[in-house]
Amino acid sequence: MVIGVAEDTGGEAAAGQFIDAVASTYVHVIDEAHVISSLYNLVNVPSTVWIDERGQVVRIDEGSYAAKHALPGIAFGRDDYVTLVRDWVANGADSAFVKARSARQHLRVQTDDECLAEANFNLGVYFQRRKQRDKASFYMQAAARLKPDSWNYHRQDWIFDGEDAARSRWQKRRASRAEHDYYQPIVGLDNGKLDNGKLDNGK
Amino acid sequence: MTLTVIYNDQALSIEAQMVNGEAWVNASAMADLTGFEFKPEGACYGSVCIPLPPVKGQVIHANGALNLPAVATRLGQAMVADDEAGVISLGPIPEVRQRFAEGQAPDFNLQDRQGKPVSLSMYKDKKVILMTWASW
Repeated sequence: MVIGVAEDTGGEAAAGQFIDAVASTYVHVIDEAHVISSLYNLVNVPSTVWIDERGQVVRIDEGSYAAKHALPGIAFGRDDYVTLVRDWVANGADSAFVKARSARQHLRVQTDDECLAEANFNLGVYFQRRKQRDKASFYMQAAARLKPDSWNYHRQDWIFDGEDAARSRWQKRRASRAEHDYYQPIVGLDNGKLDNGKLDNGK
Repeated sequence: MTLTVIYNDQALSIEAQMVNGEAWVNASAMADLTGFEFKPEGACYGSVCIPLPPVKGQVIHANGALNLPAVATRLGQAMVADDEAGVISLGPIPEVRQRFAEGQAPDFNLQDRQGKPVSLSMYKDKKVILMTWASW
């Protein structure tokens, strides 16, 4: 089961058109308060969590793009992540892509500051829903300060300067920090090669 | 007075009484919001109960009411208040974080675009992929 999660405080008005455009068959939720990113401590989009039949997290925290994207001045994304997912669906716990990566190592439990950040962010969402933009931005900025690693918080706050501003600031920031790319290498793609659908991670 | 208490993406209006500058709220309303049950033995989340002893000699849980800031502190929940608007936002519950640290996927209650509930527990015994994205 795939659940698409839009991390958009703007709700249906912000995210709905994109869901219509992809015309997918899976389940979509528009997660205005970033509940999923909070619970799983995800700090950017796109990000994917694999959960097995026993409710255990088996893979988490990867830049799981579904396609390659080219925008003026910047190219990003990838189109090969789905091969990993298909292998897991077919082979379950025996999938090389589950065995190769200990999800436990990649789970990041929120620090106390990050918990305080979440409480601030949720207050920001509350005020955004009531069109009190100044207060909304005030609390979202507080959240971003308390959890500086969260691009979700920075980027969601930047929409108050306009959607184009949010995108261009992110792209600029990402390009200027290319040497410390946020996303971890994807085991099975960047780190270990795919060979006939089997993972050869050199060990 | 009425106080708005936020937890996750829910905001609940709760009747509150100010005593010495601290908000006392109805315990069962807080239970509905947070998933905690407030029992004589303490605040219980599943099988785990956290005692709520008096703080500096002052009772913080009595007669179906809670001293909200004192209980949040005792439970280890972060708290941010906008006094002007009468809104208090509570951070995550440490017990939920602890289970996550052990690899258990936390459940959630969201809705699809038609308003139908979507939770992780609906897909028990299935593989689930959560895939976040955003318009921004």
